[in-house]
Amino acid sequence: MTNYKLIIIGGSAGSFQVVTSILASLPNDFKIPVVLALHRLKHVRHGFVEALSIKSGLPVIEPLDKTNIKAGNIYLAPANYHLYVELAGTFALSTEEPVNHSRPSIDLTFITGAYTYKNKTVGIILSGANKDGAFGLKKVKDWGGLTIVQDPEEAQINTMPKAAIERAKQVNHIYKTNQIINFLISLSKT
Amino acid sequence: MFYEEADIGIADVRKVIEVVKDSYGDDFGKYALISFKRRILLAMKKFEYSSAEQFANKIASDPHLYDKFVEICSVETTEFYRDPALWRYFKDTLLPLLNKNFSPINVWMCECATGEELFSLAILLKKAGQQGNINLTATVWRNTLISRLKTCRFPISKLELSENNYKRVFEEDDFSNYFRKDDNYLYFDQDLIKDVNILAYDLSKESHLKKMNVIFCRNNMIYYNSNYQDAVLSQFHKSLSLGGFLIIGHKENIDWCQDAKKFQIENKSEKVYRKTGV
Repeated sequence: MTNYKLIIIGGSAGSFQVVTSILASLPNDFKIPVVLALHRLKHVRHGFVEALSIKSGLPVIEPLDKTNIKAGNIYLAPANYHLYVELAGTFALSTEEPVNHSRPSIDLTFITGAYTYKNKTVGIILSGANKDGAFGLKKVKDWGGLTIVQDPEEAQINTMPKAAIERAKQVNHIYKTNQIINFLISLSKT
Repeated sequence: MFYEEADIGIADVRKVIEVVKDSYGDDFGKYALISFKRRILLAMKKFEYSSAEQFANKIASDPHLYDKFVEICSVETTEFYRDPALWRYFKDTLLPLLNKNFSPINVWMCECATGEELFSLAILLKKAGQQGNINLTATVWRNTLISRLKTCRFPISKLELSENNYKRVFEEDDFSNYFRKDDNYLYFDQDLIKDVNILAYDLSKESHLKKMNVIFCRNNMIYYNSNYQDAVLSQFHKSLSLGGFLIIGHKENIDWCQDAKKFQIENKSEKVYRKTGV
């Protein structure tokens, strides 16, 4: 049985298709909760979770405040809130100021997730046009978690993957989408 | 960014909680731990402390610094008319319902230190010609937060966002009628809150507000731990009249709270509840 208890995926512009490919490929009995910290329009509350659900075998949920994090779910950070992981293994929402001009901030979900789950965290940074997530991935690394970045060669917009690779230093894997998928599937099997 | 430079541990957070409790009698242990930790980091950065222990000790001996710390912990950023659909619903559905069912109408805007929620409501009531008809009580948990609210001043940075929200609520473009501005700030008309009863009211210590027909408490409970949220919901229940409304944040959840069964959902997507049981 794998040691990992939380997978956090951060992405922005150009990440939507990668995320949907991942969600479409995860088996229905996938055993690790997945948190999606994706940049999105703050005043559009509806539609995104539905779009991600279409191809996902697992339920995609925008968590309410103080929800318990459970295996078998895909959690999407809601519009216009930061999504924190609390020590009790619950989500906490926040309307604190945007970070890197973003709310949800990828960094804050990664930082708080890694703080709670330490070396049982997997952090994945995908395509995006800014540097949000780079520091968060470094914190995953610092706490002993596993770090993966989408191959900048493949990413539609490589600013975010490049920044993450530079900031986190020696990320564990630089993977293309299909490698990310195979890796995640293997995590659930081992 | 500040959070890239320093980190503190849970022991440090507990130390701050302990010091504040001993020196001022305020219980910050009621806050959700991770976001409170972030507030401490923000304050340490602002006042240039790298050690949480030193910062805690300084708070204990310096009431003025404590006041500023309270402000950092209590003033979350928001925007005017956050979630325009809720404000539209309030204007078009709830306000007529209130006028039909209650007289006088008592509205409580809870923990509104940041001000945008209060001024959003005040402008809405003025536009509806109901400014004087409604008894509006606005509370913050500590009296030092009142003066800031009464300045009627807001940073200009969120103007565009707020203007867009306003247009979504009213389908009009006259938000700028309610303030004057300079390069840094918006200054709202003091008249908007002249009839508002602004009070210091600590939910963990006081419970005398009663007969409320509406309570606004949006995106405050997300900063509370479960025990405190549960206690606060019970307080709200006691403060509301039967048939009164509770409005919470779009992604907040009270379903697991002890007194949740005494409420029914009135508008699911905008998180408006109605007190139906005593």
